[in-house]
Amino acid sequence: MKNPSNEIINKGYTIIGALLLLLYGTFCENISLKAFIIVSIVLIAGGIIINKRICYDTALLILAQALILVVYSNFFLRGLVDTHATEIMAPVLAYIVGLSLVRKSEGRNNTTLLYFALFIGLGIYGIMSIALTKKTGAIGTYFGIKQANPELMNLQLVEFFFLGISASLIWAVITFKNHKAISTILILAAIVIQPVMIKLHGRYNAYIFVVELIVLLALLINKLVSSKIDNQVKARVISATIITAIIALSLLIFNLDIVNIKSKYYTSFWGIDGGLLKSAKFLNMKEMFKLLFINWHNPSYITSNGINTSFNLWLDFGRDYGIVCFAVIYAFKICTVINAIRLVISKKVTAEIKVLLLPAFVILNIFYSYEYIAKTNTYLLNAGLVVATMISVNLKGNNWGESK
Amino acid sequence: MKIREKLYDYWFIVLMASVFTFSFVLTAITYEQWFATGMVMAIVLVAGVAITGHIEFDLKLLFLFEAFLLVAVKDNINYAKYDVAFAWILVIPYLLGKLVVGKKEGSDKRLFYAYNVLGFAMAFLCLGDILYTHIRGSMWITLFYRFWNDENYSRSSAEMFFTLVQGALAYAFLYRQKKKAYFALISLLNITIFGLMIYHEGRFSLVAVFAGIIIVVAMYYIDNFSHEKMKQLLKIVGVISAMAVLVILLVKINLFGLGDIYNNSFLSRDGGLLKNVRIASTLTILSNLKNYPLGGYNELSEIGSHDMWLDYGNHYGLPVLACLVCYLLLTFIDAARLCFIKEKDFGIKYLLIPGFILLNLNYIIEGAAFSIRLYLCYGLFLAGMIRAKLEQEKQSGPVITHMAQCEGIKYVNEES
Repeated sequence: MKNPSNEIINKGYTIIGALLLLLYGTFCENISLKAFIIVSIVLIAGGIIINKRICYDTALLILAQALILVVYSNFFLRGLVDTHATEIMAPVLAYIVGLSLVRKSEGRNNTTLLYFALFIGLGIYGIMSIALTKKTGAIGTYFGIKQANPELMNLQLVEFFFLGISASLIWAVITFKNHKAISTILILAAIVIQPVMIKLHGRYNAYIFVVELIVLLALLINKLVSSKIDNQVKARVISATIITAIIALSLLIFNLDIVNIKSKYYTSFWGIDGGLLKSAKFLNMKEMFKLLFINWHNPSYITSNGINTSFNLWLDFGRDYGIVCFAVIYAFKICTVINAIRLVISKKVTAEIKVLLLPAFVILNIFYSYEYIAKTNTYLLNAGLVVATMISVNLKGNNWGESK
Repeated sequence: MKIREKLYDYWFIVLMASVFTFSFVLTAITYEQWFATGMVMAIVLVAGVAITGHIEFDLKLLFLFEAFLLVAVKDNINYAKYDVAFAWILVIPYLLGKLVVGKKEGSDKRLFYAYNVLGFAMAFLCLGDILYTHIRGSMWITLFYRFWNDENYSRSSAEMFFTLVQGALAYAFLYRQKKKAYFALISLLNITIFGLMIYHEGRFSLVAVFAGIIIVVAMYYIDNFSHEKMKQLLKIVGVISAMAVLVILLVKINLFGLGDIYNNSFLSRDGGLLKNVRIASTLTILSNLKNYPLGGYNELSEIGSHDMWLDYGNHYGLPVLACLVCYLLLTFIDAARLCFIKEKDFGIKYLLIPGFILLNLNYIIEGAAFSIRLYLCYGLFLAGMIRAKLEQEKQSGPVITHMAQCEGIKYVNEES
């Protein structure tokens, strides 16, 4: 029993939501907190009216708990009044908006639309800031400039805007037949971003790009092998060995320092602070983690090197608001990670969705674990939260949009 | 399945034994033992959840957990190391109360046992204190000494221990034929408490006995709602209010020296019942609440807020107070919903609700349950029992909303 008017309302709600996400991405830094809160409350209210229920999950409760602790410790324990309560509670609203917008019913799934609405918007913002930097030419390669207020913008911040597009490369290649135009644009964008980011000395986009290329190569080899061998299991084993051989060979070449590739790597910006896997940030995080237990009563501590951050978003929550807050917000992170693992195993979710959401989830989590900027620029956290809600809804499903 | 039920019966006996022990030794628990107490409670709870299989989640639990988590966070940062254990000590009794109900058959019996085990343990604890005080000798008539550790405490906070026994008086009277020994015991205890409280000048207990009876009468008229019954009720209320007005007039006019007797007795101390200084100070604090978001509003009056919930807000800030007030409102809503579930015979709710209301009334007018936070466990256990009973009623029968209630009343009226 499908009601046509109900269908139209649902579609309209999705489209309005997608447009608002696009706007939010495009003007992320310049949207005032008041506007964000009002619009998201209206969206949530619309979702409640249309779907006839309030949506929440366990992760939301834990996140809200963590942010309430942040507010409580900031206001009532440390006497800080410069942070606004609503500013800290905004991620909760973002999470609820994600839960009410993302919808999954039989044969219908608006995850892809919302995902690209958000991340294309963020990409536009990033491109605009880079273009402005080029035009003014003030700082050169190392910094972008904020679009509206001409302040310095950190390199990592510029990188964040393209992570979603870079991560969607596998999706674009695999579903090329279904929507050629969008896939072409996405592939082109993902390729064009790389030289720009390399020129700006950004690394996260390049890493996810390389990993995705390896995955695509594995898929290609699997396809080639399985076309010649009928036995599926055998084909998979052979292609896996080929891929591991290629990776091992390249690692060997790298480690043996043939054609000076290793020394070149460590002297270039790729090897700054020890690269990705041996980053100096690890030592810092380790020390901060130890200090967390020593200074549980005395937040805002610094390391022995005088660094006042752990370079890890979650550990920084602990540094600023105490160990309980760290425990609770890390429980939230573990909750989302468990959801992501269940998404991989689940048979109800289509491969298309898995391929779209997983790379984005992984790279965003890596970003949050290596950079702490999302704590002050909340919209960076909100984007990751929306991806987490997409995973949650696709996994658990909802019966919204079906008239009873 | 049968093994599980058997295990549940054994667990229930263990729970009753531990409830009695805990309630009876409560004032002997020192701050060093709080953590161990909480751990024992947690073990009993985990065993209970493992045996019954599941526990219903409700909104009150969320508020309660939130409030005491924030309390514990502040205590933790303020180096109040032993107080941190209350983060779980003050949530577990509620969950244990929910587990008492169990299956439909025999649930009333279990609730009866749980209520009385709790009530008798409380009453015996305080009666023991009073007996010890009489043997030991006390300088003030309003000061009691604990027989566990010889610490003294005021009579006003002692009155909390009698509320459950006083609330059970009307229920025991209704079942005087079936449960003769119970009726005898309860009435004996009530007479003893009444006499002792006149001697020790406790006013809350004197009011509470009559309040418990009034609550039961009101519940009876809610259950058997009809026009004839309403007329009957109106007559009774009219006679009683006329008598009350007459007495108040006599006291005001000071006929036969009644006014002087009242004014010179302990009944009129601190402004009597209706003009009590506690009410005035509470109102002052409530009107100035928004000026004290961090707490600390008890400085507004000499005697403080004299309210357990407001004391929490005073110490830990308004967020905690907001959570606790939400919890309190929801418990009263639950109690009211249980009242409106119709029963032809006098069910277990005639036992639970008067005691619950009297106990909460004591929490509202006394701050003792804040300074000795374990006192709150009694109220939480009772609230959990009421909530679980309500959930069970809703599951077994048709869902009774307000609308359905009204329709039912119409139907009954048409028949009659």
